[in-house]
Amino acid sequence: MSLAIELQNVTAGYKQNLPIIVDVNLQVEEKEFLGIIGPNGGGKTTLLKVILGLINPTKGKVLVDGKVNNSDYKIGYVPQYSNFDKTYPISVKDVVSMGIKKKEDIHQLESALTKVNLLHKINVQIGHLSGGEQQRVLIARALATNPEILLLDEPTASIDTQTGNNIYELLTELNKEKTIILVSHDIGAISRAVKKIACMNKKLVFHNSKEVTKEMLEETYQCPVDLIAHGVPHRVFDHHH
Amino acid sequence: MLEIFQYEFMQNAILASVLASIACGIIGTYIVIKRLVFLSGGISHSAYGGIGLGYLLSFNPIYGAVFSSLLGAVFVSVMRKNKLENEDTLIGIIWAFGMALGVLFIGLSPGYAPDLMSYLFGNILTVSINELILMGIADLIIMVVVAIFFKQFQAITFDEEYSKTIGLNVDFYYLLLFVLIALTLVLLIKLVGIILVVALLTIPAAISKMLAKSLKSMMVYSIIFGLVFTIFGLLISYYLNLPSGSAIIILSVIGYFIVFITNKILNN
Repeated sequence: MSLAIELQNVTAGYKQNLPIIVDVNLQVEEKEFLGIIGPNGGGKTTLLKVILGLINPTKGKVLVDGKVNNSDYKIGYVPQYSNFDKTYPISVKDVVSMGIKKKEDIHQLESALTKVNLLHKINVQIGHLSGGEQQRVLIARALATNPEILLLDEPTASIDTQTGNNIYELLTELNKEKTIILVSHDIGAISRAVKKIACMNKKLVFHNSKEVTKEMLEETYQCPVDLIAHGVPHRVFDHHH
Repeated sequence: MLEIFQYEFMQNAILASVLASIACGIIGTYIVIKRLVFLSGGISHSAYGGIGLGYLLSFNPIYGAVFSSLLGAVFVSVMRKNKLENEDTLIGIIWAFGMALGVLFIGLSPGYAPDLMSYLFGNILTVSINELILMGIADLIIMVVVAIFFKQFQAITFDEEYSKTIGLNVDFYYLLLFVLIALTLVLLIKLVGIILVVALLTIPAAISKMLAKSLKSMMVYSIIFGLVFTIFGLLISYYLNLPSGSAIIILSVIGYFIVFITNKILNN
């Protein structure tokens, strides 16, 4: 399988002498579903922005589909929905068609909205939608450009558990066709959907598996962590022998 | 009661109201949506420095206003982009500095000292034909540019970061938007004064934001509200013998609270 995304010794940040992520190496295969967990301020969002090309790394290389500065390979970005102004007078249609270049590509808009089950709300102002619906609008906006990779930043933050589960079901469905990377601080929720997990706190700890070890978490959160696996439908942790 | 419309100064004032309402309705929508009200206040007051310089070196103050407000706008956006200082601090600096330079230059000017108050509050009743033509051209430029780049402006004002990921040149479109804002501010300062410009850019758009479902309808509502406030303000100022700028602003603020309260009641 070829690599969708590869990061080689990437260091990046907003200020020259204050790197947010340091010496990150990551290989993401096509059709992968990678979850990245870590504390707030640990560089998860920065990592996504480096992959998107919004931040240039101060050291290292970012390869998308094997190439540096690859603008042909489409990446769909789903930012934190709490970031935008919900009073902005804009309809679902206008938000989702933001990335669509030509007006005649109306079917792209409709198929994206059908995938997230929001076609019936096409003319509603985004402020009148629930949190989960707003999140789905942002996913539809990314889908409308027909990307090969989806990057999601905390897609279930500040929405209830049931709605969050629906989002993960949707992503599992989308993963059949697309590579997905999502970041979250919620280990429990993320582990139900993703195929592999990495831990991010300035450095990235990734063993190319879905297993999260006590060592990984302690390295990430830099304090002893108790692993409590109850209540998680699929065990993320290795069985103790 | 319609005899006042026979006076040429009144006809000009009403034409000025229409032109100002169109420019303010469109540009004010972006300013309110993107929370650039304070920035616009700063840029328009920085125009003061150029106005003063015009009087001191005896060239048309309007050119000085264009120059110094663009300088203020570029200064703020460059410093902000490079994260050298907070935007509101920068705005405070250009606001005060522009005013201080304006007062200083006019103080240094020999002979007749113009009334700075007329630039602060303006006088829509003394608008000349030339100024109306200039404003008409500006309105045309604003409408054409916004019509062409409507989708891009909508994208960058709604979600700057996402716009970058779909390959939009966000910096270019922001610069273009800032140029339009500066153009509107400078031309309207001469027409209606700095304070009324800020009021016309902010209040009609703020009212429309409560009612509009799309950016386009917000612009249309803003233009209508601007027209209602300026024309009724003019009539009130004429019949009650009040300063026109103050009458328009006070009427707008009353309008704002009426819509705000009605909207709150209807939504509950």
